[in-house]
Amino acid sequence: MTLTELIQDIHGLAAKLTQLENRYSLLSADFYYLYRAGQVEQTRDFIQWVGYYEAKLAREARYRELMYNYLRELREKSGQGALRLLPTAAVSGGA
Amino acid sequence: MAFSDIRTYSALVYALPERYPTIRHSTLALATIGPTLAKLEGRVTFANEIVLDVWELVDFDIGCILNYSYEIYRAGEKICWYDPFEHPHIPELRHAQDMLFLKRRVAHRQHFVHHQNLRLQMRRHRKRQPLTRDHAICASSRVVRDRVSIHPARITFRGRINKFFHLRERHDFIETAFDVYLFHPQNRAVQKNIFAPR
Repeated sequence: MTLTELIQDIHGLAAKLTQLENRYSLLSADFYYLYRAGQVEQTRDFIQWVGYYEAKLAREARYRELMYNYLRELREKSGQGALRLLPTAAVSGGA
Repeated sequence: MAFSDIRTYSALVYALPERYPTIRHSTLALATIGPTLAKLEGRVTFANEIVLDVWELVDFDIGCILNYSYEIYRAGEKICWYDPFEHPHIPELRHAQDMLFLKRRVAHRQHFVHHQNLRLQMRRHRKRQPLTRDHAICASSRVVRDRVSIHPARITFRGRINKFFHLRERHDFIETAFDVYLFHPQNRAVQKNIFAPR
């Protein structure tokens, strides 16, 4: 999986989470805390909410892992200078 | 047969009505969330007012179902379901997050076991059998039922569903709904000395 794919997955999940957050006036992190504490009832919406949120957490963790590797490569290439970030097409497949 | 891409999974899902003549109607739809994520959502209507309501979050990168919810309705009434939702305040379900409550386990009753009633069926004295990862993560309804029999009181179902990507097992939720249909005596073949309820 590439960084680009990860980011698109995260954005897709974020869109789903935003819908639920707006519907229930609760941010996902707060909802998830309540869920882990057993404070929310079992509904289809909440099952989905948990699913999307846990998937997003997992994708973000994977993103950080790949991102650190990617930045490390850039740092090695850039030396002491500024990092030279390239547009997506130029790095696809490499990250 | 194993598969791990959206196209193959779509082909399977949309071919279900052709594959299972007992399916009267299906609204299952697979929608992408990202390049490697998709959700499957919709209802499968069987004969005799049996409806299977499905939601899955599918990860095609690692080939597993991350989260799911299956509910079976008969004549509009939810009769069984399973999902990974946690129930920390129900001791028997605290770690058994994925259970299928089937009416067939309750004699002389016409209703499925409710959460709170399930504890009567659980045996705490049984020694837990070692579960391999393959055993611990499988959404096949049949396997879930087996799992319940392996260790009724404390089963950790939390995890991903890797085996769902094996075609044969992927159809088990369809079979589960059909099992419910068949379990209703009126829908089974005639058996000697067994009468359908009025």
